[in-house]
Amino acid sequence: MSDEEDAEMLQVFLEEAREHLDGVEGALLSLESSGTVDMDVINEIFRAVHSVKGGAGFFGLNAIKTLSHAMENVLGKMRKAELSVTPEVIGVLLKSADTLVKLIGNPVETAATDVSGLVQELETVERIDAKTPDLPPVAVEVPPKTDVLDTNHGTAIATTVQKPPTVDKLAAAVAESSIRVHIGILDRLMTLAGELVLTRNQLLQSQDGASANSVDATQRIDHITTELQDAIMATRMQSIGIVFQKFRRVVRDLANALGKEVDLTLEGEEVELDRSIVEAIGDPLTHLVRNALDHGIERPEVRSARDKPRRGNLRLSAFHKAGQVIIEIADDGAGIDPAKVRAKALEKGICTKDQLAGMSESAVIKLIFRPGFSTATEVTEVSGRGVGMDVVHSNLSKLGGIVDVQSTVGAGSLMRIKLPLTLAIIPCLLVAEERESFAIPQANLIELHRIVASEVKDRVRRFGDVLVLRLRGELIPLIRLRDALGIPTRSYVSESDTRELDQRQTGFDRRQDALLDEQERRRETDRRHSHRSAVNIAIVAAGEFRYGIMVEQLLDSLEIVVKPLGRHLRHCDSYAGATILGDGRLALILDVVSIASRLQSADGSEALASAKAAAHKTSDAQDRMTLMLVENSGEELMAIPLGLIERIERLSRSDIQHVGGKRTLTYRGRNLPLLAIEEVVKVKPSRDIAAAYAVVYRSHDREVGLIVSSLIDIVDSVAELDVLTHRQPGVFGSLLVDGHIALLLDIHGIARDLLGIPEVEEKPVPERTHTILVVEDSRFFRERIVEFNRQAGFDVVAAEDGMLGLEVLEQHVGEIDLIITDIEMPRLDGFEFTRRVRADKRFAHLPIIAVTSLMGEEAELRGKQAGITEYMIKLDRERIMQRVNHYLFGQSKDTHWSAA
Amino acid sequence: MTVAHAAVDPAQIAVFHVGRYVCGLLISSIQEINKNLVLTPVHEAPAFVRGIINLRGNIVTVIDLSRKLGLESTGIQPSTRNVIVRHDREMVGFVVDAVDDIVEIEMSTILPTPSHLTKELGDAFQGVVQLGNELVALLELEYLISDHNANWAATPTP
Repeated sequence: MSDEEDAEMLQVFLEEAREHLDGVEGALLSLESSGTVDMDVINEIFRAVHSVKGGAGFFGLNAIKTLSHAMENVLGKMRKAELSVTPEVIGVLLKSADTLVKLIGNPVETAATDVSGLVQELETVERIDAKTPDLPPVAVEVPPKTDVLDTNHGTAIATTVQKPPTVDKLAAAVAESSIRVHIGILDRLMTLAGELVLTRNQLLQSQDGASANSVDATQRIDHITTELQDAIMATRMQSIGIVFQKFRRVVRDLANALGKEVDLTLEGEEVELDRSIVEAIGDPLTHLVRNALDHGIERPEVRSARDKPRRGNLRLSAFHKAGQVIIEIADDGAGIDPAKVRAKALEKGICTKDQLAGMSESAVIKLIFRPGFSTATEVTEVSGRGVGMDVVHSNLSKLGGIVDVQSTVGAGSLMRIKLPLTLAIIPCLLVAEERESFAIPQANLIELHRIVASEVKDRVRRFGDVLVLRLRGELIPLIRLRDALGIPTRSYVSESDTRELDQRQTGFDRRQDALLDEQERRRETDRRHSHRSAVNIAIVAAGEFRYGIMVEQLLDSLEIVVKPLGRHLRHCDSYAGATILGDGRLALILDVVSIASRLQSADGSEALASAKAAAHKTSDAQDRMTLMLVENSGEELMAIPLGLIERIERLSRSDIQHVGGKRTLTYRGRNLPLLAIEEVVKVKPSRDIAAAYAVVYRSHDREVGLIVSSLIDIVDSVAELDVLTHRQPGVFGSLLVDGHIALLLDIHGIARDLLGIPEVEEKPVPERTHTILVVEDSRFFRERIVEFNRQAGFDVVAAEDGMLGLEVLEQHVGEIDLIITDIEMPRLDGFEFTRRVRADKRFAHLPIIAVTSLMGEEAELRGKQAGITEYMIKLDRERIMQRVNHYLFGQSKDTHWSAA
Repeated sequence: MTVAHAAVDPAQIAVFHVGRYVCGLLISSIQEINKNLVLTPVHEAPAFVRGIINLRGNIVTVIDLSRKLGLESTGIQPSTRNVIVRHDREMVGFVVDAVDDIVEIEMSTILPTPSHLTKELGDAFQGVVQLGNELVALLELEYLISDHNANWAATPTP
């Protein structure tokens, strides 16, 4: 055999040896953790080590031979159940396997390495007797037979090697029907697939005026290309189990080194990812796992002291969701302490005190991903200073992925990585700005909005420097694409409202563009967003953060081949690459995550926070209600208008009495009837009444307490009330609070029901029917208030705002007896309306009751100054009707209510 | 590859005009010279990047040679050409005002770069050679290709 052939054979042997040893580590670990002695596994390991030994002997790789031989002895005994499977034995075997791997990596150089130390260790464990009493305790010494075995195997291996490894290969092939392919070929296939996709796109574009045959053929090519592309991508897919399995060893060793006890759970090993991602994910995952073990999971004593099981739990799971792969690393350790993070952020100058003050706990925790951060209070050998979090973040960004974190102090942490399925060919949305095309990857795209010209002013608002979009009750920050990328404005909307290309435009000469007058540009920008032009917004997601990109034009949805940008452009964070469009033009692919950071920068988020605060203060929050959110069973969220609540009582078993089948609470010598919501409204009952609260309010002239299990929050709700979906007694409707549906409770209705009070109250019969004017812009409230009054027997006229209210008064001079008005209304608000009413001699005497969702002393004062008689909460039917009755029947109509 | 280490002597160089400079580059470094000037701008790229082009399916960065040589960016004229060089498995293009000729030069005729040039442009040139009454400055490919991490500044946004 020639030298070349020798070398080739050696290579083949080494590759196979590596494969064998790969399996060995995993098998040893599973043997250790399974608790039962699995003979099949032991045999597997034995055979692997055995083949390695034989081959090594043939090639004269003595160190490998000796070591594997010693391992084989130990395994041989285990096979015969003469040696128990203990962590000690496994530990030595693992160490030996590691060394073998190292030796295999450099066989010729290491041929003479001294492995006697390890061999001794192996021999030592070999001598430990088996615990099974049935078997003879004496170990049978295998070594004497070695020489015979060796020669036998020597020849055996020689035979095997002389025939190229097809024999073994065939056996494997039959078992699994797979084949080895050089990675270079797969890469070439991938590139070719990319070219095909581009050309297919070109073909599709040029189909205008093509013959029927041509169109047919093109369609088929389109179809075939897609399938071919899918198939080729499939060749690149590897299961993430490859990476996960490595962690068994890592976790075992690390846990031992740190003196911690950890159970590792792996889920979703079969989830497949593009090869390049599987390769690249190893490092970030390792870092996160190390962090979890080092800083997350506590030492067993600490855990016991905290009433936690001694053994910590680390879960690695992978699954598909919405076109992405999610990898989660969860631990039940100490969690991340927001206080510590805040302190560190301040110390490292990452945030200012003010910025931190405005951040929620979950936002604070995410600061660990910022460059320059570290929460390790000491340098640990294992994970360095923990500074790698920002490296993890940026590494994942390069893959097109994101990492997010959730944590609860004392309970544990969850790291969530989101990755695209493949890098190279992705579906995207093509947009245009100033005649330049850009691609937004579908994976980042949530929704598209086209705001028609007439709605722009209402839905797109500016607060200082920040533009926001009002979307389903939320404020989404916006950024103009031209601003995000620094695209100079080149065209303008002329007087005739058409687009004209700036004569000076060359496309490359920025110097000339800078000549564009500042004034002119601003004028153009305003014109662009004037009432004449509609606005396109692409809502995208960068991890959990959502924002909108305003673009001039929405073009197509298509699949593109991602081509990397050259070296000189690698610092351009805004771009994730470029692609060639069907017509040969280039489109840059947007890096949605990087662009997000512009908005999320300290300035950005501050501006957004104040934008949100400002939005709250503006008067377009007409349907805002201050609500207390409560829960009974943990499944349904309920809301109660805060203004109606007198107080909250904590319930304890001893205070609750059952009287005549009804529960009451003794309070200050009186009895407070306790009402159970589930008796009226179809919700689950409270879990444990003795650990609940009573929401106390006045209804029908008495105090009652509504039982709730937990008090969740107090919110100012901007959402619209949906009165249709959850219509039922005791409930006004439902609204969205922070993404959850909450039922708005009609607490007076509930009280009435449970206390057995008839709906229509007895009242004095009036000489004539009084007419009430209700001025309220919100349909829901207007209908409610009109309803209260009609049911009480009054005639009601309604108006949608102050202006209309004045008109109604004009039309019905002398007929209106009382006015109930809202404050926050468009065109003419409640204050101004009241002033004008008071200024008019014909109406100045009318009682004006203002109904509002919020109470505030300042508002009340303003109201009194404007001439409002009394302030009420909108849904407080009881009091409203009481006061109406009071003003209409309890007082002489000659009383003048003049403006103060 | 520097001219000094050219495998062939006499070496062939391409002569072109960039602003007020007459430059030369070994043709062995040059992949092609074309009129592909359909540049897609990359905003916020370093100032010396003019944009990217589609070169038969490859995305090639095009450098602004004038800017690199400390001159103002030049506009596109009929004589403007794109010189594509290949370096380290990557192709990069340069826009030049005009391409003159391909000439042969003897290595021995290369003179050291005059001091006024080195003062301004450091390593841009490896030497000069007399061609008729013009002084051709031989470009240093490494300099051309480098991404000058330290000194790039993004184009200021208007």
